[in-house]
Amino acid sequence: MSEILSGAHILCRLLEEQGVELVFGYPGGAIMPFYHALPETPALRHILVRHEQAAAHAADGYARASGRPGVCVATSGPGATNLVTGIATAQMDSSPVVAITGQVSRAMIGRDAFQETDVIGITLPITKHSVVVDDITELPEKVREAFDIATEGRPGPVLIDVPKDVQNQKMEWSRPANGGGHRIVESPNRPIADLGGNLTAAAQLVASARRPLLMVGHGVILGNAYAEVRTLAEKAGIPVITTLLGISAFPESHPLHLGMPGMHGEVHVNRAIQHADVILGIGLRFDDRVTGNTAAFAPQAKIIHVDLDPGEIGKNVPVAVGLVGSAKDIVARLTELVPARSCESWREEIAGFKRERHESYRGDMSPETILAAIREGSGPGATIVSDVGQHQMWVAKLYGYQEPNSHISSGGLGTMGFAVPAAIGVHFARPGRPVWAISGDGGFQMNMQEIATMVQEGIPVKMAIFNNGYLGMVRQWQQFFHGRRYSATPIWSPDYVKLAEAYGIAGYRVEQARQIDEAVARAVRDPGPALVEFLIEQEANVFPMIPPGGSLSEPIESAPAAAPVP
Amino acid sequence: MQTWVVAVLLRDDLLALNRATGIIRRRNLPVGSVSLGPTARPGTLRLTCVVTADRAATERVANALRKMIEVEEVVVHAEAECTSREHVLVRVRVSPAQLSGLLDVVSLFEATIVEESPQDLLIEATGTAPFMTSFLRALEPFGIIDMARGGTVMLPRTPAGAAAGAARPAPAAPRVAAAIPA
Repeated sequence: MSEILSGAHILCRLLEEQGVELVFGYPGGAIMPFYHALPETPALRHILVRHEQAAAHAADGYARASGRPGVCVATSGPGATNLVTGIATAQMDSSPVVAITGQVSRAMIGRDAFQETDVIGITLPITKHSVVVDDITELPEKVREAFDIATEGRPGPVLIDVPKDVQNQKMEWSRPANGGGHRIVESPNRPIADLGGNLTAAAQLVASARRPLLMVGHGVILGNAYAEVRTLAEKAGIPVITTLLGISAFPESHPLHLGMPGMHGEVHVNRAIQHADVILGIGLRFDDRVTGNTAAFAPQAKIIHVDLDPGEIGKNVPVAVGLVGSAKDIVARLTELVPARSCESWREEIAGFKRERHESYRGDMSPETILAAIREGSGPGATIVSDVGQHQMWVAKLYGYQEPNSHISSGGLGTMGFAVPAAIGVHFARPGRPVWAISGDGGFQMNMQEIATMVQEGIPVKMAIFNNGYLGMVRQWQQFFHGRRYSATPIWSPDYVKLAEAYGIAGYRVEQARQIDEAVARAVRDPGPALVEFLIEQEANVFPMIPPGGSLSEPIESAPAAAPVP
Repeated sequence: MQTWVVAVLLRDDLLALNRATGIIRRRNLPVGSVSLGPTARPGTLRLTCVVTADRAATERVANALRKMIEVEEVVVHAEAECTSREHVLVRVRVSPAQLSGLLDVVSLFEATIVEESPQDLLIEATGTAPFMTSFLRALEPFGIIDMARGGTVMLPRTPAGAAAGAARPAPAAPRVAAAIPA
């Protein structure tokens, strides 16, 4: 049966056809026809955010937690530009976000019309792809293409810009016979590499290694290769390092798990890298926060790099063998080729690298204590969404993730303000399971307006604020590298308990370790959103730390007595 | 550092062109020339850029271009090892006394006079980048009024051609240096 529909109605039908159930957005002039059509598609639930940036982060959080594309919608001009940080965050962390923006009518484009911006131009370098719909007849193909591109291969954000008059155009529409969704697209840019020789070479390197390491990144989570990586590690006895975005790709209670590498990686993890003779990197990009100075990175190691994106092989570090393809497939094939063993002496050697640190915290409120309480209080199945800064490193290293994809953070872009809105998206991907947004007092204040979204839409996200009165990570850099000049890092906060009260949600302030368990338990028990503020040590530092551009071999393990002045 | 010719086969679409040049711009490599034109296949354009950079940086650009949905193919060749051409239209001042000297230069460089007036000649020439540099240097003493120089174009050699080393040599430039009037 065919009917005459507007572009806006067809857009809603196309979203439904793609299996979209949620749209995060904010209405405005150039997207009004879409919002007019929206109520006629009951399968699409709309979540009204308080700022378009939050719509993009929520769509990103939904995408990361569900593995399906997350959708955000904004109007032209300021609505579209407010999406930019969220789109860039999704691009850096390979997250399949589809952003739909209204645009001024075609006749007005190029005349500096009210709320006109070249959002396609603005977002070119931060999208995987972008499309302008120049006519209603292009709408079905371009929307389907956008969803295909966002999800196939290495995922990423795609922007669809739809002029208002195209939303109002009408044409005949009939539901496609095949449902229209989930086409499989063969990308001409991603030929299936002939792994034959390389796979054997990689297997031989792994078999001959005396000090092998596995470095596991986000690609293992995106590619759902948890079981394959674990089987390989266990068969070949190889210790496993998880990068910031690879955290929760491997159970942290597993005897082969070492921890996080890089700038704030534990000493034994980085020393293992510096002593390794073969490193098998799976789905990571050897980011500068992981490698430190690349010239001094893993000086003895031959690197085998497995990645879906051929452009990553050899991009940041020289690679002995590159394997392009899905982590799941390649790791499974590699596992068949490597001999079983246990690497006992190498694992003992790494264990010998371990350091104990003893630090004191105000009110005994150590990050370990707080995070252990959150873990115990939330039970299994919880997802932890972190913001950016000192707490992000503690949350990454000290929580003890056991379940796949239970840790979500803005790694590549390092977007403060990510946690609260992203956690909203995670909730919709995992309804009925606890979701914590853990932020510092800086990042929390960047998007705390989204508490209103949680209240209006009934989203029971639990928010933890690590409040030290500083932009802590920047303050730490100032302490170490800028002669303790705390320029613009002390930050005032409102009374968060009263803030919670103003929004009509539960709020708790924790000043002593003995109050932690109860506050967490009450927040978890509360059926709605809840906020817990932890007043932590003001000048605590994240140790160890590799100075920016420094070698992994030279960590800072305590605050410098007399900090150098630059 | 070396000079590379990067040829990108992309969809005939302004947005694709914008994205491709953005990828090159973002890496801030020195770009010596850019040219754009249709290919034998309808709906595709060839964007040819000449960059001076080390091999790794050039490969990174090529790999970033390969990730573009609208890009079908990217080939990278060292400028010295591929067949590439530039095209120029140059208007040169001419006085009766200098005319024969100018015609000598035109002839030596196998250039063509495409417009003439009592005051100036419009000359067309095609050749490699070094050829073009020599040609323009040879014209300079006469007085170059204006010039439109197209960017380098390049077609990758076929495998058979590359094996045979079959590229026809471009017109050689240096042999005329002595003939140029001061």
